[in-house]
Amino acid sequence: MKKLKPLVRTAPLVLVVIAALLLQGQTYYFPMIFKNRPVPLYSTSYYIQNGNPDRMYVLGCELGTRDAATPGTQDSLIILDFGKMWVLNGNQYGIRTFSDPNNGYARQFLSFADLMDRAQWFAKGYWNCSANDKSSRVTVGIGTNSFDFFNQPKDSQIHLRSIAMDFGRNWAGMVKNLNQWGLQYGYASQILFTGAIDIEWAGKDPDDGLYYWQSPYVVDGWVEAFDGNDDNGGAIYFNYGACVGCPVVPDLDWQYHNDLPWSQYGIWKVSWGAQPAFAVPEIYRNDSYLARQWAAVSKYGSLYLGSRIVFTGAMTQMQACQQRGGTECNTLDNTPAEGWGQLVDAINAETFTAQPFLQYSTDIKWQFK
Amino acid sequence: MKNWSKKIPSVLIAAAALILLAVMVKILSAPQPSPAAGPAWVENNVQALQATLAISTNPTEEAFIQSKLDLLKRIQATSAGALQNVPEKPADVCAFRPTALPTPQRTPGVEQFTPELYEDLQGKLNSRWQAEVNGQWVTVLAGTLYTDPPQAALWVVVENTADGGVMPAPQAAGMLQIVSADQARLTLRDEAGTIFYFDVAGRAFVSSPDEIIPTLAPQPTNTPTAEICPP
Repeated sequence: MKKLKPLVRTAPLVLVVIAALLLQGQTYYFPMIFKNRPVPLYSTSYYIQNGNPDRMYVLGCELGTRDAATPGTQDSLIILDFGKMWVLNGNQYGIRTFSDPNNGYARQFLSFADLMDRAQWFAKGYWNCSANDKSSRVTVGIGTNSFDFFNQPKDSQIHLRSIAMDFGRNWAGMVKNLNQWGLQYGYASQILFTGAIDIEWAGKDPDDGLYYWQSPYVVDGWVEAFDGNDDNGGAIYFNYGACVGCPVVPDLDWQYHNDLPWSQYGIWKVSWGAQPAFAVPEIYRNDSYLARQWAAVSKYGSLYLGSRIVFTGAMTQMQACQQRGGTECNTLDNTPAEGWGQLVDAINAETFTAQPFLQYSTDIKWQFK
Repeated sequence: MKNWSKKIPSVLIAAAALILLAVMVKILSAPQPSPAAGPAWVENNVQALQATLAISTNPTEEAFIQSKLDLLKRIQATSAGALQNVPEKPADVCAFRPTALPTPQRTPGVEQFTPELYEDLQGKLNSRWQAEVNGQWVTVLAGTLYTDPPQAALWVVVENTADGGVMPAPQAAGMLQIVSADQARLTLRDEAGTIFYFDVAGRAFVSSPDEIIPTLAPQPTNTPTAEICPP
């Protein structure tokens, strides 16, 4: 009888041993598992058009009701985008809500005290309506944007930066106070407040040739003042902006425009480089281009600034598109799953930017229409 | 035995396939990290940072991510104090809805204001007219629509319907402003001083204040959506 070669004779045994080890030992996560992680349940963020307390309570209650009705423990991030920062009568700091279609497209001014009150009503709505669900939780980003010029003369960048710093400092203070309130009354067991800002850049005003959005110099003021007043961790914020016109590869020379010199460095800094900064970028476009732009910013950080961005989540605008439509929605109406998946794929396409776990998915809509 | 040894490769392939299958099942059935209960609301975010930290090979990056992690852990630790003050949840969730503020009184007519950027309407607006037309409340806003190039335009909104839209006025120069109104016929002026007329009921620009055009039929009002805790 011909003898089997030792390798052939022992091969089945070796395979069985390997299989046993794999099945009983530590679980190994291969890169593909990143993609296969289930898409998180998306939350709904809002462009606030009516910031009255009862409206805020209803928004919180809707999310609480959903979480209570959904099996298991939910963990959501929502942004309440209250609109642009605004100085009323030269000395009252606050925001201008988006225009209200139920009130002749009028806008509300809400002071910081009002904003705190409205955020608390949202929290109470969530708390009460999540009822017996005492373990689901929500991170509430109190949002604004870098659009317009605070109702101030816009010809002095130094002046605008000083106003932006006032806002950043106050925003961090508001977030800290809200979380203090949450701790005092127990809401913090389910609710965390953060800041949030939609940082973007585009378009010129034909009247004066100036851009509608703030410069990196001014926005940096907001970020640095927020950072300076966060008491080393008392407050964080999310940048939920778009990387308008950004390249899809790291480029040391790229800037948006000479007059509005956003660069990948500047974007990285306000989205991740500053200590309280975290990123939930807009991933709207169907062809995943926006996801690749953000992956490039992350890679820029990895190559030149010492750290990739660890993204907190992705924002989409499917529901806003369903409400208002418009030609931009032909290409910018990713579903939450698409936006989230595109960002996961884009950042995990390279080791420089890889991130095994992308936590949140949120989809923004108009409060009314 | 010779036949058996010939079958070895296929046995090996089959065994390897079985193992691969088992590994895949193991991977796909691995439990997802479950979020911690109570105040640990940053737990998942901490996990995201830790997972990235685990695959980083750059000490500078590791230190950077660690500093973010420390930040979140401080928040986590602070929030633990909330467990001592957790209030009871009410049985009637609607009892706590605050009373709605009174609806602002709307004054029919023309209102001019300092031009302001409206990011949600993609334009700069300077005036408003509103009134009831054929039993429906209509608002008209005037200004510049930020197309490329920008265009003078009106925004027409019929409350609680799908009716309305943006009405560009390509013949106008610069911003359009509502100057006055005679019933639902608006008089507008552009930055060059040229006067235009707009018929709200017909949703169209007209060439003179006297031109008659057909009135559009009112569109049905939207079906009210069910609201949690209606006032």
